[in-house]
Amino acid sequence: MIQKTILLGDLATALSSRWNNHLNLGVVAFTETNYQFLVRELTVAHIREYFASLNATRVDRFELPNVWALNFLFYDIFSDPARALWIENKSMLLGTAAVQIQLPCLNHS
Amino acid sequence: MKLKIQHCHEAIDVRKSIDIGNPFPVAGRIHAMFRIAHAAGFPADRPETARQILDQVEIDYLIFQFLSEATMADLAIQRAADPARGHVSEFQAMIQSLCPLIFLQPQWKIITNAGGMNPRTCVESVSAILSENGSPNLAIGVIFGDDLFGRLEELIAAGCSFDNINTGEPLDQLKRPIVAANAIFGGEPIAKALDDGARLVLSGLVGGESLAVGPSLHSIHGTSNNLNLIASAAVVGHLIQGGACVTCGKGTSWSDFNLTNIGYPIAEFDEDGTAVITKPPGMDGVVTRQTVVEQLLNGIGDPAHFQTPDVEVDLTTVQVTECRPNQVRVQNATGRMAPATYPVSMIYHTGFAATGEFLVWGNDCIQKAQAVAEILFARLKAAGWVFETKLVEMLGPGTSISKNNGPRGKPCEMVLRVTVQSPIREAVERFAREIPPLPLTGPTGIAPWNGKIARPPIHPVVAVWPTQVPKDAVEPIVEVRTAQEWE
Repeated sequence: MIQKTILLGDLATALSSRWNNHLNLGVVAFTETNYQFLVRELTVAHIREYFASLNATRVDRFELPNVWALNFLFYDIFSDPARALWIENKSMLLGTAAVQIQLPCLNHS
Repeated sequence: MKLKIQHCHEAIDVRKSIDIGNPFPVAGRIHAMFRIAHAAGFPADRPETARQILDQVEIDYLIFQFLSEATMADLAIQRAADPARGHVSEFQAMIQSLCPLIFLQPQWKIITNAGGMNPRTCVESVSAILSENGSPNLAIGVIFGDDLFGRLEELIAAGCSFDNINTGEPLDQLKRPIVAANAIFGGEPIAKALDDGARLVLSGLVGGESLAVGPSLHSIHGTSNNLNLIASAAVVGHLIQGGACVTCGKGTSWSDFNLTNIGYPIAEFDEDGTAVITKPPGMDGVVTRQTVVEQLLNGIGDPAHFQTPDVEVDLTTVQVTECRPNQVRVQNATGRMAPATYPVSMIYHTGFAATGEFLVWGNDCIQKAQAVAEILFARLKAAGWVFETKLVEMLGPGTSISKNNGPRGKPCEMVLRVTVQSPIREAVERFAREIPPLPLTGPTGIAPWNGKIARPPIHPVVAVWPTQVPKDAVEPIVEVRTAQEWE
């Protein structure tokens, strides 16, 4: 058994936007199977590590099983003026970057 | 010839007819249904969109949604500089392009929050255009009362605390000058204006979701007592308020679809709360389950408690189904009572900002860019200015979003962008003066990015203090008059 990886973009689309002082990252799976895989593998710890440079005070994950989607909230990243300056013109791009996340994918061989 | 959109409510009716407990046969039932088209998502959106929709599709309501936090901030800056400004002036060109159709097709109505910070000036300019173009008797409903700027002392004296809803801080912690404060109204005043016969409803700060709630309250009897129906309308407003974002704009599948003449969204809203999101059939882009769910998640926070001025929506119950190509059914939103407060967008002045940009060339471009930034800030320090709020961006190596990203190789060119922000204008002016000399007084291979050696402009900067006001302290005021009377 060897561990392989799969790109988030092969399983889902993602988009990001500002919400209050926080950043909202929505991940929409292509299929229900993909959604169930993401519920297991796309953890808060995983996404937090990938976007460590955002310095969010907290990251929450919400599940929307009806529409096969996960919604992540990165808290307070617009609160600090210097951070806000950084993120302001890029908040739309976080989703585009998120689909490059590599997820572990167990394959029998 | 106009196309009537074939919609997919038949499929739903079949399901309903076998529902236990539905005493009414479906056959022969007349639906109260209306069709909303969305023609703009922000002031600088494409001005020809509305005309393209109306040339192709029969609709009941045309929505121009302009206001976001960023737009309100821009309008606040405009009004602070000139009390006659602060509304969405781009709307004038949009209404001008519609004038012949407004006259020839009396069946559809316009709903917009183009009034921004200054609905009165907005309606005056729009009325002049309508009067000159054959519609002096058009009924225009204007919603006032959201502007709390001149009433802040009175409201504070009456016990409104205006605490920051994110941090809990009291308003007296805000040491900067406030330049605007607007309550964010819901759909009720829009419905009132429509009930009173308005053909064009023009508001200040009404939430984007509420621009669809208003027509629902007006068109569908009993909506005001049905929280799920209000929630369904709010979801429609939420989905279409970003304009082309729900028809593949900003889309992941950009390479699969032509986006040149992208169609803006149309929502068909049924009295049972079912909506179908679609687009003008002859136009580019695409509406799929994926594009709709992406937009459903746009800026929502906790999906089980999505707050709108009209209703708290539970988005986790929503179902999204692709029923035909470019027709996506959205149903089953759950609504709960909205809080007894209106959200308030309070905008305060934080200072000034400027940005300098350079193209940096060479295999050592990253090191050179770092050196340029260091030289710049050392010169500023020597002049007595140290900036707490500053940003040095290296655009090109691919690390601006996540350090985990980017190509493995070394880039041979990149853009260096340096931004500072300060409450002291003089400090930012000094920064702007230090920018033009850098290409000639630093390392080799540094060019001005905008193509000319000039000082960057200095912008005022505002920020939002998110707060709220009790609904009973603020009254929406609806006035309906003809264009001629408003002028």
